[in-house]
Amino acid sequence: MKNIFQSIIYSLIGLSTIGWISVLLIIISVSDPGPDAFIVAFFDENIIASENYENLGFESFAEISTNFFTQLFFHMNLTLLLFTLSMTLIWSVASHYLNVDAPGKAKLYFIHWIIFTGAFVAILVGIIWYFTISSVYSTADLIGAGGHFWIFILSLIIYVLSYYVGVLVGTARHLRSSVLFANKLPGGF
Amino acid sequence: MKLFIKIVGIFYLLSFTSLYANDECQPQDLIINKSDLNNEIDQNTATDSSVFIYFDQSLSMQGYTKDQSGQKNLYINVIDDLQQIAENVGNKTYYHSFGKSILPIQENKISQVIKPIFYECTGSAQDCNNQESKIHLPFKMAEANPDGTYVIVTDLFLSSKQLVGGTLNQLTKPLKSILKKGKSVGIIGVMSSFNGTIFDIPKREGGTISYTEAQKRPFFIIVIGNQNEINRIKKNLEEQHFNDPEDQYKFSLITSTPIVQNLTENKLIDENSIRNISNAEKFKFEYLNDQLPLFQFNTDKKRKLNFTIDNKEIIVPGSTGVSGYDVKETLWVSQKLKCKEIDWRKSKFETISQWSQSNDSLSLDLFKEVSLKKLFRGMRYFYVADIYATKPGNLSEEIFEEWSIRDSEAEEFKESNPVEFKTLNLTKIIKILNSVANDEFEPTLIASIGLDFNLIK
Repeated sequence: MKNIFQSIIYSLIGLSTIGWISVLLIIISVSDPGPDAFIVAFFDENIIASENYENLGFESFAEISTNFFTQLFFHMNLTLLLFTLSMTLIWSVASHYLNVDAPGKAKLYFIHWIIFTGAFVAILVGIIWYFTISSVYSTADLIGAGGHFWIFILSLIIYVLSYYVGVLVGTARHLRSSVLFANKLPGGF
Repeated sequence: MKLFIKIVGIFYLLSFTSLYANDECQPQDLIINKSDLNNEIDQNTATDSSVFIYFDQSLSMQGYTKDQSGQKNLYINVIDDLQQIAENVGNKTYYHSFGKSILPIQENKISQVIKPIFYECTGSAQDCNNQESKIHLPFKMAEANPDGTYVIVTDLFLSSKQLVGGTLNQLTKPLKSILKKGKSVGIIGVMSSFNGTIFDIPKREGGTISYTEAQKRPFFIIVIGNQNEINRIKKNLEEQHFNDPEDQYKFSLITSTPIVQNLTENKLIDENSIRNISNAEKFKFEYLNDQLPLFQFNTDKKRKLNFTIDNKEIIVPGSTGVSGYDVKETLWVSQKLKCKEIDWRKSKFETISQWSQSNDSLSLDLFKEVSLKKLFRGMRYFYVADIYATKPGNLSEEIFEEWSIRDSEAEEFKESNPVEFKTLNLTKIIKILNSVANDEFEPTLIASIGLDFNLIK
């Protein structure tokens, strides 16, 4: 049980090395970044279809960004973070219960890990799609075609990396051969 | 203290005024355009104006007055009745004949216009009034006194040389002036028995020949006046003389205003004018400020919005019609949905919808160019479209096509010994008259509509 708690703590630490970006994004978005914020300018330039809002008579994205950040972006990042956290901890805890009773067995569990990770990425993509492409959030209309690409790429980088670092350091020591590059970690860690 | 109470009272009243303004949901820069059309159409009362009737006295007209067995003579019947019809239109009727010049017809001689003797002349050809048919003369009279109603009875048999240069100008100049004064020209063509000689049929090599074998030939009653007077004369003729299905008659209206009315001002736009809109969520239809038909509803991006107008409601029957429309559109958008918080911004879209026309209707595909899919959900939109007729059509040119023969085909046509003789250059004449009318045509607002909708999922 002690090892499990240790794994959870390691996982959380690993997750937080990248995951802080997500927390920051959540805090910024829920508090409405305001027209002068860097993130608003970044979204205006890279994510949002400026032609659409300009044709409708708005001068900049900042004029209509409130609902986008306080609803869509906040909800999406919160969901992604909670999901990533859950999946990281599930693997880290479950890794302690995977039985290694023969040489090389841990390496065979790589298949389990890769399937688990694949499912994680697929659900991650599904969550991003739900928030940015499906018709659930009306402010998703603001996102341009290129914007969808950027949101997918950046979200995947943040959350897949967070998950990976979390499981890298949180996986049970006897199962490290099943996680990519985890066996390279120092023995005492 | 009293002063203080007064000031507080004034501010209290002012606060109500601003609240009222805030409660109004339409954009503040919304302009409801009005048309220049006179929508008060009175078709029943006779005017105080005079009616002037001009009979073509050229010898070619004589054939209409001679009966022949087996052929119905509409000319005699119609002309005989024209006096009574004219009296229905105006309070006094004056009769003239025209040929080389215009001559008044004495009251006791009016009955002669349906007899061959009226078209005969015993004097020398130079002194007679039956050798030419200067149709521009009655038009000139109409130009000089535009208050009257003018009725011209003629065979409208004009050679090409009468339809070019100075001679043509003599016809088009007064016509232009007549149309500019808001008058119209109605042409009623009637196929009638004909038993006489048709003169001045042009030959291919030059010169003219005549033809005596025709048994039927159209004559024309040209009415210059207000549209309602023209329609009244046409209606009277239809009711009294064109009852038989075999009766052949055609009608064309030369007018610079082929639009009957503004549908918005006459409140002819209702909730069914946009197909299936009444089943939309939170649908409501009303006339905004009693002026603009406003459709209010919630919609998703998939809705097709099609506004249809029946041509009969806007196009003057028998006129050229309209072949071009312009839709002036404005779209406002607000992030806030409630009236109290509304913050309209005018969009930059200039072309939002697309019009198309069929024989029966004008259809406006709303949000065809700027699809609803391009708009943001969760916002409120206010859309106003003013539909203008911008280009006259050419419907009336086709009406008389089957009764028309060109100069170059006239001799060949005559050699085929036709029983029913066509009118020389009739289509060309109608085209010329229409082109004059089209020059005077001005864009006319035919309808305005407004949409106030929330775009939801």
